[in-house]
Amino acid sequence: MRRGRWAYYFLGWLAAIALLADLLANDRPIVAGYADGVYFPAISSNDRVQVEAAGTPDWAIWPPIPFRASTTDLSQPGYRPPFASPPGGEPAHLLGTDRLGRDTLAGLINGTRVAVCVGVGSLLISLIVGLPLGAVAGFFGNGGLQLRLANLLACGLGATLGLLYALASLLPLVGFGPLFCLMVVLSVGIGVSLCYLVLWPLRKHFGWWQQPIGLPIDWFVLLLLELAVSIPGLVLLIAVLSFVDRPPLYLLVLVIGLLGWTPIARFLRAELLRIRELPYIAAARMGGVGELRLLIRHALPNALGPVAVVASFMVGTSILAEAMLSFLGIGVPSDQVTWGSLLQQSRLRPDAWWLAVFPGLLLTMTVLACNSIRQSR
Amino acid sequence: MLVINPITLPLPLQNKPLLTYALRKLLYLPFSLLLLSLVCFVLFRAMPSDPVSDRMSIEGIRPGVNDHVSYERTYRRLAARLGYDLPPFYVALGNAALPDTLHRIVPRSRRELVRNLAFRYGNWPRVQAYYREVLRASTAYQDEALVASARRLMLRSDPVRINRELNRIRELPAAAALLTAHRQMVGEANRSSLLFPRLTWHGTDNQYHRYLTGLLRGDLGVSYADGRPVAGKIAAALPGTAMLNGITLLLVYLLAVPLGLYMAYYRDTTFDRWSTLLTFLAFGLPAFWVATLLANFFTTPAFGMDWFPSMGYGRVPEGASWWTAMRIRAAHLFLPVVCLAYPSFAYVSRHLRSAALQELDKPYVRTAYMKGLTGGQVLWRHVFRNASFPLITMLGGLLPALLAGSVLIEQIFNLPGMGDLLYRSATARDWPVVISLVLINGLLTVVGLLLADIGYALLDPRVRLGKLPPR
Repeated sequence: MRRGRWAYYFLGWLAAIALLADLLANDRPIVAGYADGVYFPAISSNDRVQVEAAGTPDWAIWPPIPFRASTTDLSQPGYRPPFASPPGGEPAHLLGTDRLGRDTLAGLINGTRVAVCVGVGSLLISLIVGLPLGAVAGFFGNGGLQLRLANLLACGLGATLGLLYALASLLPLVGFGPLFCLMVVLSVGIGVSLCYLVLWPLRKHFGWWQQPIGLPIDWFVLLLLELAVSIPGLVLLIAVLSFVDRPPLYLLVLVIGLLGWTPIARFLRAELLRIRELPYIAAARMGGVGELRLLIRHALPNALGPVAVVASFMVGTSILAEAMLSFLGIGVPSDQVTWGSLLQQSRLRPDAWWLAVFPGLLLTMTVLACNSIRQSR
Repeated sequence: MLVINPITLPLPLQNKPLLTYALRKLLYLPFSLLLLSLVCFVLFRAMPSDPVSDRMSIEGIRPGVNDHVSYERTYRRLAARLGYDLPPFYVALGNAALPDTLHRIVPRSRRELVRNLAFRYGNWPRVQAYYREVLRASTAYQDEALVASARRLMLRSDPVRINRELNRIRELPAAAALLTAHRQMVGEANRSSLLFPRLTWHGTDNQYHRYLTGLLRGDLGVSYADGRPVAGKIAAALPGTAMLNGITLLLVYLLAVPLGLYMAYYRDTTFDRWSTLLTFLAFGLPAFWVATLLANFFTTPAFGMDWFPSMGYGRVPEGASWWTAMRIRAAHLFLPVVCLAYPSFAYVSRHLRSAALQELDKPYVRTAYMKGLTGGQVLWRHVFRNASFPLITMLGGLLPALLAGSVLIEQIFNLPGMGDLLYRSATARDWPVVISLVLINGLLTVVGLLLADIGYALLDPRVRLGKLPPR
């Protein structure tokens, strides 16, 4: 635990920078005082317009770095090295500038925000997909959830038919939106009940229809995992993101998240396979706790420790993937300055070492921090 | 850049006899491949450009820009030859407002227009009549105003804008038929037909079927960039990447195995502690950053350390001696191989260390010592054999990972290869090449995992006998 402590501090520090990015690096004052009141142009876009109209404020509190990642400093263009004293009374660029005079430190701060967004966002998506699948597969296995064959048939058939009908007829009719979601629920419900009604007379005649069978959930999830593993991650990422003309950031987050659910599902499944055999689960079951409550309240909290370790590892992988993609210039909006795009710029001008060293150091620290959380348990 | 996720290694093997196990795995193979081809086909259909006009420019067909009729004719002929007027898939799900022959309208913008109109008015015969009138008006050369309006109408399904456009040509005598058709379409709208779903079976003469049979024959399509067959382009890019990755793989296993074993053997010594720390750092250091630094410092004159060539695999002159050829190749390949190798090196040696640590605690090791074997003999003959099984599993995952990883390394060191081809095609929007590379990479992944799984079961008799669930 001691060895991993710096990692928690470092990741917390990154998150804080990402949250406060606008206050740390901005070309507008945090607080600007005028005769008619006090404005906050760095935070509120409404205030920004008013301040720009009003001109120089009477007094102002400036952010520590008086540049934004995307503003070009025309007075100091062309790869200013770090710590160079600026001509005249201009504010200095602490870590230098790129070709267009954009501040490297401000770029790093904006890159931190992008990295934290991608890391946390894609992790959330992976968790949304991976947690339910892994939990159900691990806890119930192939025979844990039992359903009468007739009911199973009615549910499966009805849901499929309802969904297909919603896609074929209702989507063109009402267009995509909240109304459509409501309609999907309705049509699935109607489909299931109709199938029940149709199958009702049949179940009297065939006894075996009434027999309960175990749902092969584990088999199904394993099949999904097997198929997902065969999808080539980075290559598919490059292909998908190059299809879109100007991909927004959330698309990148979505794709990375959807590609990353497998480890979470697999680890949770393995952990729950172990936990469900433990005596306290059997005791709780004898005490009359329902299966679903057993899973959510009793089994899942104990399984989350190892999953958290995998999750932190996943954050590192996602941030690395984002850096690689923006290094290639694919997938991240071109007006966003990120760690990867700074690194890319250093390739145009090899002697601008500050464009290569600082973003790479931050990236390495982040990945190492995420990996060492994995190590310390 | 090796992104191996230790966690994405193959699923734990089940306790099944080898044959059943291999067969079960083999059953997955066609499924995965079919799914992969489906994904690629959907990607192909979803791409934003028009495949037929792209193909036209490759084949050098340039009908006169002003000659609308001959352009249409050429377009339709080419589309029919390439099969783009076929239904996309075996089955199609639609509703009664749509005809089952919508796929015959090849240009996507027009197909979308007709689909939107059909959804809005629900009366297919009337929509069809309107569309025909628009088409006819767009080639009515005696009336330039009408042609311009009709071409704009061809892109519009929004009723407000259609009305605005129609108001502009209301006075023209030639537009009477168009106006009537529009009035009938709006007047006889019947949206309730949307409520009747329809499932159409198109049979095997569809685009996906053609694509799939083409794939099975090894026909990957034609590059949009230069009109060469995709298979040829990939074959040209393969040797470089294969050489790069082959050397890397060899190096990784040659160096990582002894390191991992000796780290376990000398556990908790200074040597072990330092190697553990170093491999941990190496596994976390992003290789593309290290590669960028190395390329910036050592292949450019920026810092006076221009020691390595900055692009290509090097040209060996005719009749050069073996030693010269080696030297030229080594100078070009040294940095890329180092960057590709060190993360997998760190990963493999760490993995082997933990596997060997578990083995060293087992009673058979003590027995081997009691027999009088030396430490080296125990380590290499007994421990290595038992600890090395996971290495085989890893090999399966390493192959596709290396290929994907060489995208950045080849990019940074300017090496022509598969990764470079992928990057250039992706940025040049050369979809057939990109999709074929996705397909090949997926194929490699699936086959690699399959071989690793079977090899593992083959080499560890305990798995075959079903006695032990291996890690």
